[in-house]
Amino acid sequence: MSKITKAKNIMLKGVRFRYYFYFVLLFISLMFYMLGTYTTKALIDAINKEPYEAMDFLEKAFFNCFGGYELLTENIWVFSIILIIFALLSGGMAAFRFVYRAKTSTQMGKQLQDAVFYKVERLPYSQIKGMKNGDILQTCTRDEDVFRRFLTDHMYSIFYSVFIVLIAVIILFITNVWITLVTLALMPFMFVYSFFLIKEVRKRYRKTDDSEGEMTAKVEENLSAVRVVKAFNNEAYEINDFENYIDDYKKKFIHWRKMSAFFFSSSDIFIFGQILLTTVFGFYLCYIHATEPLNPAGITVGTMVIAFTYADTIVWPIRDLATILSNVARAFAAVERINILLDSPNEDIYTGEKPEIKGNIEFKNVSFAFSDEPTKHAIENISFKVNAGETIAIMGKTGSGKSTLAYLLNRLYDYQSGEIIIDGLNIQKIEKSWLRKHIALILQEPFLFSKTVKDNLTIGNKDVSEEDIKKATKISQIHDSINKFQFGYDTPVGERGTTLSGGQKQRVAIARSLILGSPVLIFDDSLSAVDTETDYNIRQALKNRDTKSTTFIITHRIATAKDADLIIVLNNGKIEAMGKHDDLVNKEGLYSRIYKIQTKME
Amino acid sequence: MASAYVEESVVSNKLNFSIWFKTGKYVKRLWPVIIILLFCMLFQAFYDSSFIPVANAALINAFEENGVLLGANIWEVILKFNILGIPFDITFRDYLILSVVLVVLRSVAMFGLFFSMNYVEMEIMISLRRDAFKRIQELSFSYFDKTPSGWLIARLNNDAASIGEVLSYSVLRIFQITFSLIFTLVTMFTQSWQLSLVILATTPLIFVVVMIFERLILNYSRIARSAYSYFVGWLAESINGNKTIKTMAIEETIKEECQEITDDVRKKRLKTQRTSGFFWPCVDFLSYITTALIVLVAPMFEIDGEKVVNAAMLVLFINFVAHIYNPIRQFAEIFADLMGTQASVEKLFMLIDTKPTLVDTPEVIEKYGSIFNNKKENFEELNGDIKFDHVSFSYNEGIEVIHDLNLHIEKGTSLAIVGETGSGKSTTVNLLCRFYEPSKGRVLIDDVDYKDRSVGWLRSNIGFVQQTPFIFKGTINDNIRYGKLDATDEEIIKVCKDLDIHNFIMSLKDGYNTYLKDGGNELSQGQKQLISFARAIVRDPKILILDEATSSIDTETEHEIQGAINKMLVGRTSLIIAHRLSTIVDADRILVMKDGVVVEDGNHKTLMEKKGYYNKLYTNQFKELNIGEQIDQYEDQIVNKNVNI
Repeated sequence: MSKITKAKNIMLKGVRFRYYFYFVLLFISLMFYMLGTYTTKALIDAINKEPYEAMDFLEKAFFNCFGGYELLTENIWVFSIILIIFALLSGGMAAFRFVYRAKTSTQMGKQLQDAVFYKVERLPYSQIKGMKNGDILQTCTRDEDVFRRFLTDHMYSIFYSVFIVLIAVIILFITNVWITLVTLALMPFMFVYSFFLIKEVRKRYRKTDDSEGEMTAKVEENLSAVRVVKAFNNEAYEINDFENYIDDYKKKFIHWRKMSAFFFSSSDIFIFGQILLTTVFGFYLCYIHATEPLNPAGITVGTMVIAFTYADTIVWPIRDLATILSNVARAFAAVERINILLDSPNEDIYTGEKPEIKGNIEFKNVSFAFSDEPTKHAIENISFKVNAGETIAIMGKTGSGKSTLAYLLNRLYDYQSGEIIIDGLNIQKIEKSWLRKHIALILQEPFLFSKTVKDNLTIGNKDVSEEDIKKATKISQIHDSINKFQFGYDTPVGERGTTLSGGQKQRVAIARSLILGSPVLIFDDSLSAVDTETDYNIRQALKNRDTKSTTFIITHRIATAKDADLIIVLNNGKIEAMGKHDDLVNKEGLYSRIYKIQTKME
Repeated sequence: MASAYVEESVVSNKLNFSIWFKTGKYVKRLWPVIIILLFCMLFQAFYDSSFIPVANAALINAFEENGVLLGANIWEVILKFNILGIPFDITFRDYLILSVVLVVLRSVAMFGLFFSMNYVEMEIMISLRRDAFKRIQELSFSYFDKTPSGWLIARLNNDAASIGEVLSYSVLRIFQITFSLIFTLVTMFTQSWQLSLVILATTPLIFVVVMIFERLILNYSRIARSAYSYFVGWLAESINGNKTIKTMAIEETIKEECQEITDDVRKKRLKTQRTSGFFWPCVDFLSYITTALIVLVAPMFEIDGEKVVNAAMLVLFINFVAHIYNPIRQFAEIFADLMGTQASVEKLFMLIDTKPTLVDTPEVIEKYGSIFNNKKENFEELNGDIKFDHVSFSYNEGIEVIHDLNLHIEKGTSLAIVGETGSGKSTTVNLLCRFYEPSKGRVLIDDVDYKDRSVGWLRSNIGFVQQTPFIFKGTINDNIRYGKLDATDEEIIKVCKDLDIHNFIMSLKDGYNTYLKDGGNELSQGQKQLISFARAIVRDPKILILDEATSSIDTETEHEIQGAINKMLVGRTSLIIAHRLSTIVDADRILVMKDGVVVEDGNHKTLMEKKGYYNKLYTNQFKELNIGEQIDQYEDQIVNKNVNI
């Protein structure tokens, strides 16, 4: 059980008492329910005028509680009032505990959902990059659901079964030992039988489920290959092939359901056998009572009735109990995945210094290698120096380390040797969240949330004024396009709203970052889908801003790079050349070559 | 997107029988199983609702008339039974034997009941899937343009499954419940009509309560479910946008959003659970009241000064309360199930009832066969001379995408069509493959209108390579053979050797028998495309179509593939569509399209030097390339081809 602790503690935080107190409520509520049923016994004994002296103390207490033996045996109608009293108690209690339970379990669900998501949000980039998004989503949704159900629904069902058996046994035991034993006679066998048989049912179910998965995969394949299927005129072949999957599924489905039908119908023998056994044995004890009234083994008709009623009440929960317990492994598997996630360390983004950042940046012999290829340097010995407000262009072929350089600067990755210094302070001493707020990185394929355009723009700074939003969108040359959208700035983006083109997305993302007012801006090829003219306009507008940011532009366009204060040409993680346009253009190398081609192709 | 395809958990408000009637034929053909099922239900209802209550009453009764029935030996005690109005006496021994037999028989009946119910469920689900799948094969391209594949998968998977489930468990259970109601009512009335009337008097109340609660719960749980699916969607997005969240350092903002959303889920779930929390106690309370009523009035009934009601009768009727109340609850549940599934039935039958729009005329089918059953012996040989004769086309009424296209592609020519997205280049190819038919004009193959021949005739002569190479689950052999189902291994190997991909295939673990799963992810995009080339060529098609065949391949691999492409083109009429212009610089003829009209016609060198639209397209695209690619392509396509710009 220890392995479930962590997730369990998170769910129970603040509701621990309520969670456990529910079990008490459950017990009380079931007690009222079973005593309500017990009324039938008293009623029959009263009708038959069973002698008071021969009754057990529970029944005596019952009679004394509701007006005494004389009154009840003479006035049978009083029992209807007793029934209504129990109806109120049991019903009221049940309603109360259901609501109580709903409050607790929904709160528990929320707490785990929140906790798992916070963890996902805070995983280091290098770690989350290697995980499948689908797997993470499964843990956050399905595993959470399975475990919450286990801790609430299933736990409560387990205790429901245990309590109801316990109460029935206690009441019967007080009345007559023999009838109690007989009522329980088949239960252990049924429990064991069900427990093991249901495992087999589940095994067959999983095979069926897999087969259905394959059938779905076939449909998916057919639909994504629809052009190929039609072009090759293989429709008939596809139908035949699908038939194979149907056959397999059918075979497994029948195999499975044969077993489950067998399980339910054969365990019904235990259930109805037990009820019959109790009834028949009850009749026997009743017969003894009728023929030898003084024999202590005898029972009254009332006891016989309550015995087979209780037998009917407890057999079903026992079968359910076996079903639930045989499926506990699934909950454990779910919680294990949750705990693995919860146990992975957070990226520390909230400790460190918060210095004023102006934008003077220096790289000193910086080297970096990815953890999966520790010997190959993705960035090797990079050194350069930039003053606040300057523009730096970075060029290079694919894989030369341009983006990695940008990620090092805002610490999505941490370099292994050398030093990166901002305004005199090593960036590893700066709080990551602070650093990232001041170094706005605009990705090549920016991600917009399915919110309105405006909500996307203000996501990093909710308090920004309309005016500042417009200023930013005008700089990124997207203001006019937004106004042309159906609802202007309130147009929803994404699946349910307007689909933005790649260039529009990039420009919204640029505006989003500009709104942050960061002293350092990094364009990670984020003008690639914007045409050359707009590219130029954006750069001009940036230049004409009141406050100038240190701006890194990763690009493959000479026109974009050539006005920069410093141009860095990267090759295989190393600086191949560095300088201003005029220096580089006359030097033999990648820059001059590409310059010649691009001017020719203009 | 049409609103019909929006995936929402729709719960209908009114039961629409005409929708459900459509499922009739799927149920009807299962009649033998259903008859078995009904027998099993009948037996179960008899045992549960008649035998057990009557037997219990008889056992209690044995002691009521003390001494009269009790014999000297317990086995000889006489029990007075009154089953369905037929009174008879039975000894305790016989009762015991009868009971054991009936318990076993009931189990057998339950097996029959469960299993045949499951069988019905499975048969319905599978027939629905089969019919839907078949329909999908017949439908034409225009259908798939409008219909997202996710929507279709949801129909086949979820809808077929839930319809099967509802028809077997819910609809057939109506019989089960009805039987048990009938048995209960008959048994009740044969025991005491007075007390039966007492029970029946309270049923309208319970009926109203159950209906009101079911409605509420159905409604609330729909709201709660959609709140949860919103949460799941939000989660998926936030996980995908992880990098953006980090780089913008907006973890706190997103965290607050998460709290808001999970709290919304919590509140809505609470509302649902709270309502159902009141539901059951309410129903229980009403059944207690009914029981109390019986206890209250039972002693009042007297005939000739004799009390009609004794302890046995009381117990019997206390149990009848549950027997009457449970079916009402179950009816309400079935009603809710039907409501919840109605939308599924509607949508699935919308698919199954769709008429294919592109079909051959009966005369053509008569001669050449249908797409499922080609009469290949009647097929004329196809040479590969293609003419578009005043062809216009519109996907939607009024919006024409091809305007009066006249084009003659001579046999053996390699023709490339270029243009921006929406220029009509893909449509032209789709028209040629008869994925669509012209709105106006004709397409002639070897000077015959292709509508006068069958779809199968045309397509069996076309080799088609699409943008994203499609790899079927199976071996490389299977994948290539998909192009010609009866191809021998030798044929396949020969084709691969011709295309120079034999060595690559042999270098794989199991050669041609290498098993590819998951869309062939163990191969590179270029390798997958090579396999789809082989698939197209193994048919030995007269017409070859490369629809953006190089778009998804990086420029490095493009070089390797180019060799194979050049080999494929030999001796075939080929149409090459390429967004990436580097693919088509070697074509015999280049057609430049814009807004559904051909604007330029020539080859790479002439069109580049003309400095018209083609030149502009080319240079724009060139600028998008990364630096390494620019250098390579400049060498290849400008310097080496002596293009003078």
